[in-house]
Amino acid sequence: MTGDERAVFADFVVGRGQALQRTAFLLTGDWALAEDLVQTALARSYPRWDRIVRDDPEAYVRRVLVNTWSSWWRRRWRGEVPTGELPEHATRDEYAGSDRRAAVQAALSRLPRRQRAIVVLRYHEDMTETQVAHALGISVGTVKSQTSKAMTKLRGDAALTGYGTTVATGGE
Amino acid sequence: MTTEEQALRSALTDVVAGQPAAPHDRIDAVRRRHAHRRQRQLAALGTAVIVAITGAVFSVFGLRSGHGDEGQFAKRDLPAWAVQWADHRDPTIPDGYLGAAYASWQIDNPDVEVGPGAQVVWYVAERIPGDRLALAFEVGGADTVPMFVFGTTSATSLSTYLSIHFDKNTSLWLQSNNCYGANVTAASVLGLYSTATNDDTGRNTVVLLTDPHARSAQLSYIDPSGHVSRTVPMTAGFGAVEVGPLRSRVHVGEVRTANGKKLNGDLDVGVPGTGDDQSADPSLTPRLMPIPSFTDAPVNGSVSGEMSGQGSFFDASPEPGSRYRSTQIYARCFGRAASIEIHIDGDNPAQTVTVPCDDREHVIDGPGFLSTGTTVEEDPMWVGGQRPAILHTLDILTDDETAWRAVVVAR
Repeated sequence: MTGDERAVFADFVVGRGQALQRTAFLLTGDWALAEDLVQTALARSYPRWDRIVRDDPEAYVRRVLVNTWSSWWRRRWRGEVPTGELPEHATRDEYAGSDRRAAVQAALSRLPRRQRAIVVLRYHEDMTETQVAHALGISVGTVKSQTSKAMTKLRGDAALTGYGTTVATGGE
Repeated sequence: MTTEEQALRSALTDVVAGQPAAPHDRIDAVRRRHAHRRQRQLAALGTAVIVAITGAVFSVFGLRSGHGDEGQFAKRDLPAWAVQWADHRDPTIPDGYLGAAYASWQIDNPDVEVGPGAQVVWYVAERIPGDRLALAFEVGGADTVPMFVFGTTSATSLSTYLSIHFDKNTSLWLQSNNCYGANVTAASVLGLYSTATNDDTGRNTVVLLTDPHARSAQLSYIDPSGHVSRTVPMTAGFGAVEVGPLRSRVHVGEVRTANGKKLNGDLDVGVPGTGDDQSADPSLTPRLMPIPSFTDAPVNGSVSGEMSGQGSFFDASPEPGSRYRSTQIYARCFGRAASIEIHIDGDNPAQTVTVPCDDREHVIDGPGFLSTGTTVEEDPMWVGGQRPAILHTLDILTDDETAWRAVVVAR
C-alpha cells in the first residue's frame, strides 16, 4: 500500500467511520460493540485496500461489517475496558423519545439476525433490494420474503404498540 | 415506500440519535488489530504447513491400482499435468459462474503466476448444503506450474454478482475456504469444511474430493451427542455431507471403492491431503459449536468483559488510570486442547491462569491488572509508525480447534 492509499484509508475512516458505526449499532444494539465491529471490519478491509479503493470502498467495508457481525459468536467481546471507578448508574432518559428508541431497539434485537440485517440495510442505509441481496449474499427473493416477515414481526411486537403511526400500527 | 416503511426508517434514524463521538484512536486501533492479525496468521501458517505435510504422507499409503470399476465414471482427455479425476460439474450451474469464480480466485491470489497460455481444468461445480457451491479446478500448462484450487463460495452471492455485473476487481470468494497446491496427485484426498452464510450454530458441511473410484468414506467426529462414526457415500470420488454442530475435527478413516477395496484415507478434514501453499485461512479449521452464555456470571460495571471464540484471542485496550486490580475469571472450554491459558498484562506465571477444557464452567481467581500495562511496539506497516502506546492486554492461548467462553471480573 502506498502512502497515498494510506492517507485515503485514513480519510475514509474519518469520513465514513461514524456512518458505519451507526449501522453497526443497529445490528449490535450496543455502541461499544458497534465500535468494535467497525474496527474489525476496517482491519479486515485494510490489507486489501489498494484493490478496494478502486471500486466502492464503503460498500465493501459495509459488506465485511455485516458478514462479520453475522458470524460474531466467535469473537464476542461484550466488555468495557477496565476502569478504576464503577460507572454511574443508568438513569431514565427524561426525553419523550427515549422509550420509543428503546422499544425500537428491543424489537430489532428480537428479529432473527438475517432479518435484522435486512431491515437495517434496507431502511437505515436506504439500499435497494438488489443491493441488500448483494451485501448479504442472498437472493432478491429472499430479501423480499425476509423483509415481509420482519415487518410482520415488528408490527406484532408488543413493545412497539401505542406509537401512533410507527411501524407497529401498519401503513397503507 | 409505504407509510409504514417511512415510519420504520424514521424510527431507525431516531434510535441512532445518541451516537457517541468518534474515538480519537480509531485509526490507530485499526492499525493495531491489523498488525496482530498478521502475526496470528503468520503463526497459523507455520502450523498449517506442518500438518499439511503430515496429511500428504498419510495419503501416499493405499495408492490405487487395478480397480474393477473403471467404466463407472466418465474418462476425460485431460492434459498430462492435470490430476486424472472425474468431472463433477452440475450442468445446471452456468459456465459464467465458473469463469467468474476463477477470475475472483486470481484477484485473491495475485502472487500466483499464471501464464497467458495456461489452461483451466474443472473438476467440481456442485451445489452443497447451506446455499453454497463447491468448486474445484486446476490451472496449468504453458509456463504455469499446475495449481489445484478447491473451495466453496456462496451460490446466491455468485448469482447476484453476475446478475448485476461482474467487476474484475471484485472477489467472490469472501467467506470461503480454499486450499491449493502444486503437488496434488491422484492419490490425494482433499477435504474442506463449508458453513452456511449467517449460520451461527456451528453447523458444518464436509466436502471431499479424491480418486474417482471412491464410493464411500468413513468419517468419525464428536458432536453434541458424543462420538459419531458413519459411512458416507461418494460419487466418483466426490461427496458432500452435513455433519451438524461439531465438537471436534472430522477424521476420514478409510476411503473405499464399490467393491470395498481401500483406496486411501487416514487424514483430518480441513487440511488437504497435499499442498505446500496452504492458506492460513482460519475457516480451514472446523467451526465448533458455540458455548452458551454463563447464567451466573455478574453483569455490572465491574465486569471487564465477556467473550467467546475459537482459537487464540488477543485484545488490547488503553486504560487511562493505573491501578492494581485482582480478578475473578469465569471460563469454560472444549476441543482439542487440554486447557486454555489466560494472560492479563503479561505472559509470566504471575499473570497467567490455566483453565482445563472439560466443557465445564470454572470460576477461579485470576491475575490482577498491572499498573504499567504492556507496551505495544510500532506498527511496521505504517510509514513513520507511531509512538508506543500503553495498553492493558488480555491474551487467550489455545489451538484453533478449541472453543471457549470467558468473563473477567475486576475486584
